[in-house]
Amino acid sequence: MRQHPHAISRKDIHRLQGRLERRLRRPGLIVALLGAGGRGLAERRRIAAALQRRGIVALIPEDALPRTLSPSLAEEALLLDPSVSLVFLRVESWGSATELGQLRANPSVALKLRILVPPEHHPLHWRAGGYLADTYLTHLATYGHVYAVDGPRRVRLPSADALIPILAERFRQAKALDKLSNDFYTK
Amino acid sequence: MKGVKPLRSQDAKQLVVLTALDHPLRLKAYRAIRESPGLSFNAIARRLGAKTGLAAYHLAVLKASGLVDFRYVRRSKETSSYRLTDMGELWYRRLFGPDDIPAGTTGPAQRRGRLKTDG
Repeated sequence: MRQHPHAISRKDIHRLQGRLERRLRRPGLIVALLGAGGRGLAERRRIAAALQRRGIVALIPEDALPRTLSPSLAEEALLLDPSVSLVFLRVESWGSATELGQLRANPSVALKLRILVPPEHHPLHWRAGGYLADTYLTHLATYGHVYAVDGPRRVRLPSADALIPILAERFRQAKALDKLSNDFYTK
Repeated sequence: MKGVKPLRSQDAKQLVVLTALDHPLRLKAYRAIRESPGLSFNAIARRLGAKTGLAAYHLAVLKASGLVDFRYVRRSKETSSYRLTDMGELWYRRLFGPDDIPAGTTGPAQRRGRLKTDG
């Protein structure tokens, strides 16, 4: 590639970035926003705009990746790259629930996952049963970060007495099933 | 949000842009697109020497930061063609200077002066 004779280098960019981060007291951050299409996509776009106003790069795969590429290839690279710090997944459909299963299978992605679910599917805020609530409970016990959003104002809040045994017991089950492949959690 | 001072709009924009460009492949892609507007995805991936998925991810960061955009064109088959946005062009000039600056007038001091990060 032809280079401008006085082009600044990546080192210069890195130095500028470091100086800016120190002045603003905020590091640069890249996050991914995954979820359903339709209204879900409109909501993610609003959230992405709000994050950009905070100086955070927010990636929405449907907008940022061209449809001419295989979404699975590009999304895998996106989620695995260490510069993507957080992956927010709003589970609103069976499609996104399936996506959750795939994401959780990779421990390096699972650590970055922040899962947003309706309260009626959250294992701690509702007397929910079924496959999804069970999956959320395992994720909560092993990695944390399963949040109830956008539900009725009154949701059940578990007591510490109830919460700690539930999480400890589920963690133990996951450990017994060798579901925890990350050393950090198995020591 | 409590306890977090909001960023000024220009600081937020600068943080987004520098976060996006602070990576060798993304910087290379940004410059390649500036040099050849309308470059196809495959051509960029070749220039980066990166696998398709990785190239797509880095271009997605540039797109999300508002520096580049793509549109679909149909050649033998549909493909995506990338170019800098107006904002991307503006930042290119801020970072690299206008193309027609004669050599010798853009030494390191002047280059450093183009983009002030100290407010």
